[in-house]
Amino acid sequence: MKVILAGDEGELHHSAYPAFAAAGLDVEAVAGTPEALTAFAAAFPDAVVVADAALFGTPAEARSALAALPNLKVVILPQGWEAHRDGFATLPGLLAGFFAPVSWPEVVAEVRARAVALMPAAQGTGTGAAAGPAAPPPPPPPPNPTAPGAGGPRPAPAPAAPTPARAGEPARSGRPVRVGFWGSRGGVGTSTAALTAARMLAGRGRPVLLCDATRRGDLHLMLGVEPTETPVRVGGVVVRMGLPEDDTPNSADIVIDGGRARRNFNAEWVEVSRPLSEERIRRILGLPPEERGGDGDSGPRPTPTARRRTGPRLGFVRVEWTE
Amino acid sequence: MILVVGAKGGVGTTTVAAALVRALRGVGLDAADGQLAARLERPALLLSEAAMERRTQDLVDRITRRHLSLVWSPECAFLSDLALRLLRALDERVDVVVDGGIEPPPELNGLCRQVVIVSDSENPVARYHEQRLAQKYPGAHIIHGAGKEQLESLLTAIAR
Repeated sequence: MKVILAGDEGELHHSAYPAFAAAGLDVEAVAGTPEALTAFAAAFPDAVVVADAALFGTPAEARSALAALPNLKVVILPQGWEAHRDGFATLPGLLAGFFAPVSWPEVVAEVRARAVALMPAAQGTGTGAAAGPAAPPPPPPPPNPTAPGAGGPRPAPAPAAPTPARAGEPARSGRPVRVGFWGSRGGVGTSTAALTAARMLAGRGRPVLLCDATRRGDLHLMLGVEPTETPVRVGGVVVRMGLPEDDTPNSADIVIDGGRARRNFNAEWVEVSRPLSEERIRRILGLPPEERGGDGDSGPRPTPTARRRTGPRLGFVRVEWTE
Repeated sequence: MILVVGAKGGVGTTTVAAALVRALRGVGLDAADGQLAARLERPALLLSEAAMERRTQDLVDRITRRHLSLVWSPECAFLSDLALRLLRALDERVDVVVDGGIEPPPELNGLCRQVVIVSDSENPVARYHEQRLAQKYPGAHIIHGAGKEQLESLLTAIAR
């Protein structure tokens, strides 16, 4: 699947592009201006457009411009545009929307999960063709008993279906996970998200390294052990202070609690601005929804307070679109 | 100078620091994430830039008269002499309240006559760091939460 990204070029190159590339999606172009977006969308009509509406000055201007893009599928609304959500939700062809700030790995997961809906639309069948009511196929001709095997001209065989959607398939099956969580302010659940992610990954039976890059020992404390420089195994998770070192097995999944900053480690860094639900973390990790993250021995669960805070009010909210 | 330090993120450190600035009619120094300067809704100066000002007393006058906030930035570590000189001069005129976040800059440790540790008694992580901070800052005021009652008792303790 080809993708056109539109928005702040710096952020797209820094965060979005690597996330799409890591998921195997082909980023055809990155547009940093409305004019470039229009040109790229026209040049690559079979590419899916993922656009940050902040590219435009006002909501009205953004909606008008985006409505003219036949291949727009995902839109991101900047903070403060919540009141215009409904106006964007009715954009022709739109399949999903997010409120900034977004987690790009999650946007990628959303795009991949909706691949079935995206692909037919890209073939010019109209907006939302996969979800909307389709015209019934013509009835087969009645059999002709006098001409067995002939049956008149047969309709041409339907073209081969595009690659089936991989929704539900672990996005990183077979590959070790490298994910880091960071929050620009305290108390938003960064460490809880890291712990939850480690617990889910431990449920797959593979070694998981959970790193406290803040070196405050909070992850140890949340696991109920005394902070120590020596790596500690708790359930299926090895917890250590600092970043992963060279002796980490290549097959290990690595989860990092970066605290207030992205750390200097090659991982998919997810910004946490509000407590993340388990479902969101599962999607960030590329785990299928039905996969449950291990048992209680695999790691700690979020505190009751964190659980209460989660739910529909997430760090960014998908604009459920139905036509 | 009063240093407010949090045992953990989200326990109300900035809330307490902002309340102290308002109650004491002081000046806020944001050594955390910029939230204090934003919450006070006052014009802010980067301490690293202010420290380069030659006429310190004029600058102190301006800060106190216009109720400016100050923001600590990493460059201050390299300008600690100049920055601390300005802070000392300011502290002689008005109460300076520092929002130190969870890891205050070590340069400020020797400058603060009072320390407030904000914690959460129900959170084991916060309790652990509260004990650690209490050992680091003997005699510090410890409050759990940033509610009205806690703030009033803290102001009473500080006034004493």
